[in-house]
Amino acid sequence: MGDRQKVESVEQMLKSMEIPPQIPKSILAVINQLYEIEQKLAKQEGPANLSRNISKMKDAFAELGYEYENPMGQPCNETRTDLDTTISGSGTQNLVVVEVIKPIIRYVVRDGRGKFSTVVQKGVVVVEARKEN
Amino acid sequence: MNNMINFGIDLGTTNSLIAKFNKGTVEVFKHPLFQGEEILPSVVSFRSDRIIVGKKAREYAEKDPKNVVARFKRKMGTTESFKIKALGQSKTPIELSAFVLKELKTFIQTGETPESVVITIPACFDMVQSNATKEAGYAAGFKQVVLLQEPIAASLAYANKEKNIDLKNSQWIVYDLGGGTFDVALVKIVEGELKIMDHEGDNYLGGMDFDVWIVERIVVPELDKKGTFTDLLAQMKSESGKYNRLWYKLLRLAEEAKITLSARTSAEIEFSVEDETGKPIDCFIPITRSEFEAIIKESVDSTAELLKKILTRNSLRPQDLKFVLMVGGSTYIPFVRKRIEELLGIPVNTGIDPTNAIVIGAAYFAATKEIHIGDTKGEKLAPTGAIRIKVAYNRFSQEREEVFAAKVEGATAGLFYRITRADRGYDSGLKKLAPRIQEDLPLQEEEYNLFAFKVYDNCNNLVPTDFDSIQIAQGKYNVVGQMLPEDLSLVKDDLNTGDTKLDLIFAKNSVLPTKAEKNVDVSKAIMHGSTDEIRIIVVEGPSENHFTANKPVGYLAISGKGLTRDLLRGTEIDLTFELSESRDLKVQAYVNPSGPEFSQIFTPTFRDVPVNVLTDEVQMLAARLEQEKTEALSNENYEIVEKLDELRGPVEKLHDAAMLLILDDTTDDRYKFEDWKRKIAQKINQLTAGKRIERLRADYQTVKDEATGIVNESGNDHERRQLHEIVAREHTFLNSTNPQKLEAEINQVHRIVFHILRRTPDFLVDWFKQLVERRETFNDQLQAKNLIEAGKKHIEADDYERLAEVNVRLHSLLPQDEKDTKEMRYFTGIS
Repeated sequence: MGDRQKVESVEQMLKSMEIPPQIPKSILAVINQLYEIEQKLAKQEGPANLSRNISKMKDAFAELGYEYENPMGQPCNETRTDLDTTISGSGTQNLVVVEVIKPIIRYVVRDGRGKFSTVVQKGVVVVEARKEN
Repeated sequence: MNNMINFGIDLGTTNSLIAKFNKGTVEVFKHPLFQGEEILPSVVSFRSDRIIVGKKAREYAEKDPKNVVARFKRKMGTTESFKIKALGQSKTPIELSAFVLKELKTFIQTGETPESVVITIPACFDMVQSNATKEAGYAAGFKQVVLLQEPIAASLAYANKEKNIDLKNSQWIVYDLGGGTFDVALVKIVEGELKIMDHEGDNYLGGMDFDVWIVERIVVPELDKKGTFTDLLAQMKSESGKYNRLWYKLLRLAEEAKITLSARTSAEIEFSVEDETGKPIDCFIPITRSEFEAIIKESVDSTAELLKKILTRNSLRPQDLKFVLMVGGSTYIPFVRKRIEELLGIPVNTGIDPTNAIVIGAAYFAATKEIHIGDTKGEKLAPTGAIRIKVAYNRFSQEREEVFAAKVEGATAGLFYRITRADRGYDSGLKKLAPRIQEDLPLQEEEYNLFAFKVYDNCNNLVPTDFDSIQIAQGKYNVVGQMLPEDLSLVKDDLNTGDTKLDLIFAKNSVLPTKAEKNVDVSKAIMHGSTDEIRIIVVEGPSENHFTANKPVGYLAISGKGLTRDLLRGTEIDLTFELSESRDLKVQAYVNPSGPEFSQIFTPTFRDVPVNVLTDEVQMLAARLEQEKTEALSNENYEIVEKLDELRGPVEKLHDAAMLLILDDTTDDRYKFEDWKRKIAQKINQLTAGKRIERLRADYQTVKDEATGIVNESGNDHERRQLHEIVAREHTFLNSTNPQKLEAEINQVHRIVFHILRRTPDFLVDWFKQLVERRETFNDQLQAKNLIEAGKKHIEADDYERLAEVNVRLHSLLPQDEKDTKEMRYFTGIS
């Protein structure tokens, strides 16, 4: 099993990706708003034809390389550096995301090797110990 | 050779930073994982057999105090130590500070491992506390530690920034209000040296208190008015309270609002919650700057009292001070500045960045101190004999987590390892290196997950090994045939070039099955009942190619015959593409609004090549060959011209043969011709693609140079910034093999230039003259005549603003075909 095949160093691979050095804050701000609109619509079961506009806007951002992820319900521990967390309740084990204030935004690059992404905005969330049934 | 220390560290109670002086400027190093963040919270966590320092540790500080330690700096020099439950032992403040210092070493991206460093200490530190800080430095592997008091560091940062200011014979106050602590010190130049004359402080006052007050005093009363709650605040603050989550959410929102209020006069807090009766409440709570100021006034005044205490003790009047230097993140708050100014009657100085002033000052100081490593007081470095690592892990995974196991050969005692994911989403923290190690690595779905594996000694110096990266493809099967071998793209009309372009639907290596949606516009009207059609063509091959060079895999036509009403130009069509595991491609087209739906399934065993599309493509290919030849001729690239000429014969032969095909031809000729056509197109591509990119790169350089001159001469700040942003990202598109990307950027630069030129008299006059030359073509001759007369008068009167208006109006009088210089050819009818 011990595969000795040498792969490119992480630094070399990161360099070869076309990641912009600075992401304009205004782009992140618009994506955050888009996320909020999507959440509000989902909550209020808003008109389906508005969801279509949202998904088109998401597609447009995806074309620019930006994708967002809603981490709601995902497990979380101290190794997750894509989330900025605040712990609610008393436990600190088996934490899950219970509130999402900002989604995780990634910049996605595709090349011959496939898809790579990098976190350009950490998700801002509240987490809580999973309740045992 | 530079023999100066150059490295400075601000080892703060709440946050720490590291910086380096280099050739006259100071660079503050950034966190390797958290983009743009210079700050490392001074918090150490020992949870689940790993050591984590910084922000992630801070998140657990309040809820897991038995394993996470913060604010240990205040205990420096005492015999107190912190019991760590997970370790079953205690850690001293010196050891804990050493962890912070070691973590800061990982911020250094220059490849250096400094042995000498300047570390800042608060003004209030006595000898024992100062020595304890030095010890922490040695424990972190530094061999020379020079201490510097924080207010002096801040003053140095200021003095180096404002080089013209004369501080001789003067004294000033350094006012440091951070996230959780407040310090104030009187600094004076005595015999040419900066000295701290007096100091005061409050260890429990800072910006975090302000967030709490916003929630307690503004948000909660508002919520109480809107819904039914019993003792809401207690329910929010209690760990078992019903609204505990809301408390933390509101603290976050309050912090954001606080930051907004530093720049604007009002901010709002928006959230939804259900009250005790289950009634949903949508809250939108505006907060004005004056409301915020009212709630922090008392504590800001208390800081002024401490400051006055120093003045009284030193028999000074405010006027005796040169200024009050503001340091610490909370001094961004305008009210803090204003209030201190009001209460003291002297100006406050906000000339330096309050968050990193201390570390910058430390680096300036370090640049004046020589490296002098005598007797090494630091701990001995761990033995770093050759470490060999044999790894075992799955390179392809369907799981969200994959086990990484390794056998480590060599002396592992005293060494640590750390695994970080390249997308900045995972950090294992420091873990002890053992002969056998195992780690569960979380994977990002549908992506290539790349991890850096690093080994450190006990001073966080990197130890070389023969293994440094882990690469796992999530969602990809390690079985041939499950991944898409080539890009699949949609062919669209390119309205800018009059040609077609490819829009990537599924990238090469996408995992099957997969699905994508595209939204396109109808670019030519289709009358119902007519034989005109919209063509949805999917091709396989590199998406940078011209489509004729790629294999067609799917074709769906929306003909006028199948329509119940006309399809107008600009109508949107939603396209859904589904690709099954066996690579059946299903294309569905849905015409908006509420129009008909078309769908078609293509299988890889059946390639659809409609005769009319083939003949169109062949004609297009012939035209393209001529166009490329003309272009090569104008570039005097005779070698290419010759090679293109060789293709002329085959293209003509193909053209003649295709024209003879009848629409319902049942032989396999169409497939043969399609193959033939593709091969010719690929040859043209090979001959011209590289050239095109090269030409575009050269074009970009030319327009960039031109734009730089124009922007520098006549551009405003906004235009300068726009150009600067493009230049900053140029490595991304200059290295791209996609000509469209380059073209888009060139157009962007052109736009900036045009915006500027539109304000310059020469350009406006030239434009006007060109329009006048085309006077006969204007749609409304009378209006054109009046406008031309007016334009002439504006030129005489040097009124270029109005000349610009005339030009725009004249331009609008040009007939459509005069405005569009390119002839549009619609091949697919979608764009």
